[in-house]
Amino acid sequence: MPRLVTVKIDGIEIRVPSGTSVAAALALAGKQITHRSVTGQQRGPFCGIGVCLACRVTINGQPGCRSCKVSCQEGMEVITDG
Amino acid sequence: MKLTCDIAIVGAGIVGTACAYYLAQEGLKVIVIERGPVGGGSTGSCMGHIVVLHDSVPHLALTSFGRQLWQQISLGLPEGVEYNQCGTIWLATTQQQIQQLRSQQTYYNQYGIATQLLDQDALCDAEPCLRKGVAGGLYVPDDAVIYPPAAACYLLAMAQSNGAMLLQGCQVMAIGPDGSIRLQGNQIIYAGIIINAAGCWASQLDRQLPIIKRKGHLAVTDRSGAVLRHQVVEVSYLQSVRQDAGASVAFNVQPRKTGQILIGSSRQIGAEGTEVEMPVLAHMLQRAVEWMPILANLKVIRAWAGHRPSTPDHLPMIGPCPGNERVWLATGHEGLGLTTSLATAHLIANMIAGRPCQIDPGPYLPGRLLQGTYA
Amino acid sequence: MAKTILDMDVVIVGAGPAGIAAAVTASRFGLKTALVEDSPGPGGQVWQETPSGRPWSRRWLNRLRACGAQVLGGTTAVCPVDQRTLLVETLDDHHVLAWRHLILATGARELLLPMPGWTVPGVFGAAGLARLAKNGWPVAGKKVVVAGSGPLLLPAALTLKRYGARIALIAEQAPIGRLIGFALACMYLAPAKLLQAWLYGLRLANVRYKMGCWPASVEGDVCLKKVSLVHKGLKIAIDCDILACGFGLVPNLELARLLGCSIQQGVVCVDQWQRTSVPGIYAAGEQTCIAGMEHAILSGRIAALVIAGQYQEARPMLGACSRARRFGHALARAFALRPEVLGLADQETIICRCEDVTAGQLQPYTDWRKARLMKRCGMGPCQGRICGAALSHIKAWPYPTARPPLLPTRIATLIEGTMAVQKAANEAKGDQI
Ligand SMILES: Cc1cc2nc3c(=O)[nH]c(=O)nc-3n(C[C@H](O)[C@H](O)[C@H](O)COP(=O)(O)OP(=O)(O)OC[C@H]3O[C@@H](n4cnc5c(N)ncnc54)[C@H](O)[C@@H]3O)c2cc1C
Ligand SMILES: Cc1cc2nc3c(=O)[nH]c(=O)nc-3n(C[C@H](O)[C@H](O)[C@H](O)COP(=O)(O)OP(=O)(O)OC[C@H]3O[C@@H](n4cnc5c(N)ncnc54)[C@H](O)[C@@H]3O)c2cc1C
Repeated sequence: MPRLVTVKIDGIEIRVPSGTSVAAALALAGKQITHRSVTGQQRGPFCGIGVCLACRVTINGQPGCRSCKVSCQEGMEVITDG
Repeated sequence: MKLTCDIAIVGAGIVGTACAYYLAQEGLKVIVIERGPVGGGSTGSCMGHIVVLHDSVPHLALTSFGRQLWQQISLGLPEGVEYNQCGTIWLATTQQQIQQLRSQQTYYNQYGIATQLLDQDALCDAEPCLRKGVAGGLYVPDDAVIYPPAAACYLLAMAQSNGAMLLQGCQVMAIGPDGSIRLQGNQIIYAGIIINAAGCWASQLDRQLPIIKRKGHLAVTDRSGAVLRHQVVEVSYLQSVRQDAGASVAFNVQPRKTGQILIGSSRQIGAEGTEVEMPVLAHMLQRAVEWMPILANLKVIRAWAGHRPSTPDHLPMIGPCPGNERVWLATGHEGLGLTTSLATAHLIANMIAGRPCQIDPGPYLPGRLLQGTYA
Repeated sequence: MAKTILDMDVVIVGAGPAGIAAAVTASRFGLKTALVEDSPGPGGQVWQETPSGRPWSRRWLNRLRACGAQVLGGTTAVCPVDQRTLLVETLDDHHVLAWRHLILATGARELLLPMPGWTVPGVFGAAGLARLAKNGWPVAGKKVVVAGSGPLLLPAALTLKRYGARIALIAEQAPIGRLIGFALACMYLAPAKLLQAWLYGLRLANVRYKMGCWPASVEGDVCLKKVSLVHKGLKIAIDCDILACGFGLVPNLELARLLGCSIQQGVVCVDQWQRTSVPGIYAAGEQTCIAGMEHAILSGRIAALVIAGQYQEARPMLGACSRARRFGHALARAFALRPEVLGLADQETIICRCEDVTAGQLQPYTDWRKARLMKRCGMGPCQGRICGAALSHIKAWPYPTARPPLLPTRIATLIEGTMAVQKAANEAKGDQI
């Protein structure tokens, strides 16, 4: 069994296997929507490899991080703009 | 086929399209000749701030007249032009600069331009993301921002609805004192009056024009939680405008409707290309962060550079070439072409029609910078 | 706070098979090497470390660990600062790397084509979703339609299946006739085992695979509900949770373009030694030719050997490398896109997902500059990576010019990185006096 790490997503704690991407943790927490488009549409991860930037969220206070490109670390705080 | 017209305008930047806008309204037969996209020159890379500038009487007159004309047409502007009367706040740090803002205010009052002095607290309320302890500011509520290339397209479309014609993808190779315009491919157009509104490239058509390129960088951030409500400019921007050597930067930020922040600006002489120069970009961003520390952590999604068409005395050239009533100039607007485009075109339309102008055109007449007559 | 600059003999951008092979090879000759990778760890699109990693990839990753090259994971190359330095950023930090030789191994991305409804959450890239699943994205129990084109659809579907997804259908747009031709060409150009594995996998997986079939639109609002496909002139509608859809690969050329490397026919131009048009800059892997992993490894090794001056050792690889490229070209022909899939978007379909610009809004424009000026198409955070690739296929618009930074970059990074380079340059000047 892989080690579990705890991350906080929009204030709610969730435990995920280490190595899980932040995008995956969001989905596991039931959050498929990462942000709203410029015309207000709901959007979620899309390309899966860090190119489309649709999965941007705020991680540890850093805005605009691609959640598919970051692995969950113990204690990480993630804020979505869905 | 021989193409003739009353007025041929070279260049469909904001200045050329503004000229077309007014001249077509007069019922004149107007042709606009543009080699690239409409608004794709300096107009397409600029910041879009419609601002009254007070570093000289002629500047104040032209910018405030220009702003007034924008305000007049603002209600009819389509959404894509993104006209937003967000106002400008000029920032002062030292007592000397506060003094400067006070005299600016007095000066503006004489011209009927609304202003409001902001003390430290008022400034903090107006722009909470500014660094603490900025001594004060001057709020100019009627200044605005627009999206420049869309504005140029709108002005041109209005001109077209009044019968103006656009020749796009046509490079003008030469203009003659007899009103002839030679296009690439040797087609000739004859015009009663030619208006050279080719911006930075105006001197390619007339080598005696003293126009140089003044490069400027801009950067835009991702959408963010940072708040910016007004265009905010440091008062020493005016020194930066006047600096004639090397690269200078000043804090100048603009809110976008989307929550993005447009960050300016730099000035540089002798840089031909429009590639982004990292040292200049970094210097400009550093300045912005000094004023708005929250910016350090925001992300730039895009940076670019453009050129301002600049004259030796920093004033545009508006009017006929000395000694030749058929070739007119509407260029050299440097960092204010967007603001002053409508005013420029208004002056030109009135001068052509032989009507009195709303402001004195004297300071902008090309004769002041051009010796000799047009060959 | 200006930081010091990391001085390297060789800097490699991208730790996929090409970058890893280059790093391992360069280190063998004592070259001080740094490998920059955007993802948390090395591996690229095929070898990224997951619990289920295959032995082959494990061997290369072990070599990489042992070789002494400095691996910078979670690190994005954002732009050059001057001619010999590269600015890179991490989640909360940044560095400047100075290089004598630079190898670009940034790989490829999927071509994602607009169709009605493709912005609805639940539409993904095909290989991209597999990638997400490998990193824990929950696909278990989800009903997935895999669609698009190219040899990656199958491994993507198999991966999704392994993670518990129900694959409703794999829809390949290429017609069956062309694929048979390709299969025959494969016997000649590629290791036969590759072809075998492919066919075997298909049978084993027991999933429906339709050729000459493509997705036409997606329905759903907050999440996806239904996908419509076209097959033999008929519309089929499938209720499902996810559409995983990619139309083959396009190279990641942004960094090469920013560095001024010549680009032709959609790939970075290199000579047989993997040298680009810019002295000191090499390119390897998918951005020089979409030809898969073996080509990536070979080209990465060749680039590093040339840098180390080991032409003797590199020469015997040239034949295999060019064979692999021919395989890539055959692949491109076999999976060439039919015109229908380039015309799926209707007037309301969003083309630029960053700025929400629709096909209808783009209609009046004939090139990038105008579309960009008037509608801000391609000027959002992805800098035209998605809509640029799509429009280059749909409207044959050449890509827009690249400007720094390549990806959204913290202002602090741009400032401090540039100042560090300037400081070093000034000190160097001081030393000379
Ligand atoms: C970074 C930056 C920020 C700025 N910010 C502001 C601001 O906030 N507010 C403001 O008021 N001003 C601003 N400006 C200044 C403003 O952009 C210019 O003054 C203005 O755009 C000039 O307009 P123009 O029509 O004269 O020139 P252009 O927009 O350059 O138009 C000239 C046109 O002529 C065409 N042309 C040239 N030669 C030929 C030829 N031979 N044949 C055919 N066509 C030709 C060109 O293609 C071009 O489209 C800024 C400028 C820069 C660079
Ligand atoms: C989503 C996807 C899934 C794929 N799955 C398979 C598969 O299952 N089987 C298969 O045979 N082939 C697969 N491929 C094809 C794959 O591209 C090749 O087989 C092979 O991986 C190519 O190797 P490479 O080294 O050229 O590129 P890649 O493996 O793509 O590696 C390039 C690396 O560069 C990194 N990078 C890019 N830009 C930057 C930057 N600016 N800064 C830092 N790092 C950067 C990327 O993160 C990436 O890790 C896949 C391709 C994609 C796009």
